[in-house]
Amino acid sequence: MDDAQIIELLFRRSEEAVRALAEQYGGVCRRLSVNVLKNDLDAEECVNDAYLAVWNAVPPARPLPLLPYLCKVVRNLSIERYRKRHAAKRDDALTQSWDELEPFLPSADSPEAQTDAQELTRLLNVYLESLTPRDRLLFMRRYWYFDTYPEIAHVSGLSEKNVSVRLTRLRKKLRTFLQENEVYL
Amino acid sequence: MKVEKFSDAMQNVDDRFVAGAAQPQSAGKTIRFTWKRLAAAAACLCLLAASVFAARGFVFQPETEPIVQTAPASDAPNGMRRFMNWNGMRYEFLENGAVYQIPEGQLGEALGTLIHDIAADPEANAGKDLSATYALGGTVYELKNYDTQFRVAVEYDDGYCICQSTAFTDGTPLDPASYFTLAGFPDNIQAVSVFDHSGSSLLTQLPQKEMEQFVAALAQSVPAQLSDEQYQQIGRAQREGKSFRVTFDLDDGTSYGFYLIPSLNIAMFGDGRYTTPQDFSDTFGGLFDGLEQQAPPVY
Repeated sequence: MDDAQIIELLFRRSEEAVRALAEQYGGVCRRLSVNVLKNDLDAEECVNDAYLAVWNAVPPARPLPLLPYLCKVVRNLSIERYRKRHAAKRDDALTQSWDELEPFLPSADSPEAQTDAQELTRLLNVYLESLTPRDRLLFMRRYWYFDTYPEIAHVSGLSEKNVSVRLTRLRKKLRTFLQENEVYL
Repeated sequence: MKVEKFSDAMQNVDDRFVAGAAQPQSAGKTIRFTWKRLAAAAACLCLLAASVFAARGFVFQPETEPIVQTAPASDAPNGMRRFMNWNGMRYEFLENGAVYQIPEGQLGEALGTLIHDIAADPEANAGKDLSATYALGGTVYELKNYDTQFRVAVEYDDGYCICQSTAFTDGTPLDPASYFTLAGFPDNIQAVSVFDHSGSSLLTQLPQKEMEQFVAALAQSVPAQLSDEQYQQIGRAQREGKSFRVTFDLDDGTSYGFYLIPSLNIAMFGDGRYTTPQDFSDTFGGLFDGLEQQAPPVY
């Protein structure tokens, strides 16, 4: 079933749409949520909440393609849940991915100097556009989907060490790019 | 927290990027790049390499400012080897913690502070990021001339130590080919020197024109699975003067050293033991044949 057909089902308020969403994109969504939460039950709940969010948003929304829309909802809900439940615990994949990124993000001297989120998203689009397809895949899998190095190695066909080396270079490139564009966080 | 703001902004990047990165996984496939693209890339690389090779004699090479050792290391009072862990790698303090004067332009961003004391609680702290047996409280800095997976600097007691990676913290040995590339070899090597095992007597230097081939052959070494007998052979070779300390003398005045036992086809980079390729023995075995060194004293 393609995205347009699923949207059509949602517009008709057919529960078949949720089954189709799960069948089509359940794997990607669960994996993304497990990467963040490291807990199958929590991830399952998050993914179900995401289906519900899509059910509530469509109609009137008609998000095509559906996959990035659904993934964004899952990611958002998973990080929200992560923040609530893991405030003090800092040993999971999400934190590791954040920790390795933190030193490469330029700091603002004052809250006023901080780049706003919208502008940062715009610049991140420019940065991602500037990368080769493979480097973009590595960056997105690590910092959007929070995959581990072995998982990224499997997806990209590179060795784990190569993934690690390339990600280090990408973080440096990101820092240079942010500094050149006077982005401060 | 900066990174959470960053992650929030990442949340809304263009759908194309989200979908593009999701597809390989959802399809259960590994991305494959067609032979045509690979061939084109290889052809470009060959052209580029040929151009660089042809032009290198004519192009002005900027001189690297030297890193100067200003104080030797003191002995470790607890007898522990001086090393630290950062970003999944183990680094040893060069010259066991000697102090260096690093030119201002070569010092990069601060990467973190060494906070976990391995000596105090080896079991709990040995695997932690930013743990160390020395220079606790020191700040880890990037060195601009090096990839951080090869070397970083640690500011400690108003001086700088240089830390050089020796292995991954999970015990995985280094892959010489990737490691040499990260380290910038052979481009930043000025000379290859062969010393006796203790590193105190210079026995010979490799002719300049053979340096590139020497490094390329060594880069093909693979981690060795050694038996007890082979460990005994290594010990015997060291006692009998068949083990050599080889250094790559780098253009910033520092050097990268490792042990080589040509008669056993063994090289020791960082914390790992490696088998050198047959190519290396065939081409460079003769270099070591006539070298005599005094057997080390037996205590």
